[in-house]
Amino acid sequence: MKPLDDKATGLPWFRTWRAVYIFVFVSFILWVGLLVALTVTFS
Amino acid sequence: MSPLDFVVLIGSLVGIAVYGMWRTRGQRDLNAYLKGDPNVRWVAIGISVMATQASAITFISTPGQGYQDGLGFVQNYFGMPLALIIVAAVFLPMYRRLNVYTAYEFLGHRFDSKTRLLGAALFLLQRGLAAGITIYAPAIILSTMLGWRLDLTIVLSGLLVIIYTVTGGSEAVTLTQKYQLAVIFGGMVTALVVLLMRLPSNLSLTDALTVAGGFQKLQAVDFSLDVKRRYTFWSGLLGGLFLSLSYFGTDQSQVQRYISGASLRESRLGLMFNAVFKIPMQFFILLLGCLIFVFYQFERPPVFFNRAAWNVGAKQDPGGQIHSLEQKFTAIHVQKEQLIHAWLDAKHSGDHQAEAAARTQAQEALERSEAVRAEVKTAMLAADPHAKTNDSDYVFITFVLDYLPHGVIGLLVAAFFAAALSSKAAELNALGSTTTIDFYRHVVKREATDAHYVTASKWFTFLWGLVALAFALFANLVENLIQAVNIVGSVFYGVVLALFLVAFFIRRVGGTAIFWAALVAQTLVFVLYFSLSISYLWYNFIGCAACVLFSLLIQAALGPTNTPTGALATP
Repeated sequence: MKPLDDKATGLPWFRTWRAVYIFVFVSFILWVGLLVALTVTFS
Repeated sequence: MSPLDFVVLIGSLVGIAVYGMWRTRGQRDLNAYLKGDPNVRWVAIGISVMATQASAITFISTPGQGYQDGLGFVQNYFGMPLALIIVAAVFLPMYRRLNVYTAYEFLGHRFDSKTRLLGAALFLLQRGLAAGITIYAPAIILSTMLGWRLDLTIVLSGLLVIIYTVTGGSEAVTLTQKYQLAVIFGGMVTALVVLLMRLPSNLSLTDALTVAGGFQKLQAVDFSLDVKRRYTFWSGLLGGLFLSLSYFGTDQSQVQRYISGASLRESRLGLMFNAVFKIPMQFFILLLGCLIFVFYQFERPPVFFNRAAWNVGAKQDPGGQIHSLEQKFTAIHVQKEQLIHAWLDAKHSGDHQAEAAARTQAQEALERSEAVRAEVKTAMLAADPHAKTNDSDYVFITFVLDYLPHGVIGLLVAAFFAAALSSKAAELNALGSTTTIDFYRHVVKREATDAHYVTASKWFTFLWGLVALAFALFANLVENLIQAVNIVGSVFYGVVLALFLVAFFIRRVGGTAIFWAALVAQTLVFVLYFSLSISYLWYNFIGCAACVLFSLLIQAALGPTNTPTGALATP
């Protein structure tokens, strides 16, 4: 198997590091959204 | 604890340590000893970074924090994903390009030798002072609850971690952390499952969340701009970003964990693993605490969770005040439980008016019960002025010992010790590496074989282990130890972060300017610390901002310097 260079992420859905960082940021926003929903629903 | 618990506890802890030593025996290569397995994959790096950050206190105290204050503490981690993106995109490529062993070695490449030594010295001072806490903090809680001798608990757990860290170096640390984290997660998930099974049979998960929410335990996010509030979205985002950037980007105990990857890709993905999973992990640990709170609404909790302190206070209670307060607490608990049932019944029948009334009454009952707890603490202090009255650290371990089956208790206690060992090992590993690379190899003996430096590193790691043990054994001489260590950290962290921020982002500042700026900024922080009475967390920001500003001013006075080129040119 050909070794991956550092620019390739090796991930099927996120081929660039920018895409990986955006995914991390979006998952953070989603968690904050879920926590806000939990706060509002049960307070 | 039963013999079965001891078998689980000793078997898992010693088994993992022996396996780590056996797998890494005969290590003579400096690169492998200090950086670990060169083929390590991102999952192992991610686990290692997570296990280093999560100490025993994370798993013992955080559920207690959830029990006491609810989910709000999760906001402290909001800055971490952003900080990890910055570390992965900017810090990490530079460390790998220069093939450094320590973060401070990079400062030597970018600035000069004196700045490198300053950065390394600040790290050793700060981390060396904190070294005893990682062992002492869980040992004091567990020995109190289990009736073990504190000194023996500290020495045995300390020696175990020293032996395998000295023997196998960074590779043993990463290898053992993988299994230790498995024990930790296994223990925590089992505790959650048992807790859910022990809730009243007619109480659904939605009901449990309703009760927790009704008592303000599920207020996870607070957008208030009030700076006096301890946990808000903004303080978590900005303060957390700042602290995480310092910790993950410049603290060798973390840097050593992720520079060891087989490639930049593996190291980056390891960091991103933490950026995605840290907030959910903290959320579930806090939620566990909130559900323990719900559980204790239907089972009478102890009026004071630190059993040993309670026994001392109760013995020295000549007027019987503490015992009568306990009876009052029990009566309020029975009343509160009935009100909660009435509240849930009204909710199920759709009677909103009755639901609101019962909920308000239950909230008032909780306030009365908290007032009784406060009276108990006052009475305990009157009986013994040295009594420790903060018992939230003892909530989870009390639940574990009172309600979990034998075998599972051993697994949970093993999980607490595994967390202590995994973060302690990374700390010792970093202290030994920094002393060897930034001081011994750089200043004392520049030309020697790998085998020589590996031996030196083993000795330095061993010596730092002894320092940590000695500090842990005498830690009770210092009042409010954890806060003292946090203060020391905040006093130094700002300037250390500034060294790296200037190195990465302000190309026109050279070694002499940043060195003197760091010294002046550190002096300023010391002066302010002794003359102002602001929260110590502010010194992180003040130290960093002052150092950056002074470096620009001094560089302007000194005139232009050569801007970094080649491998040192930042993206």
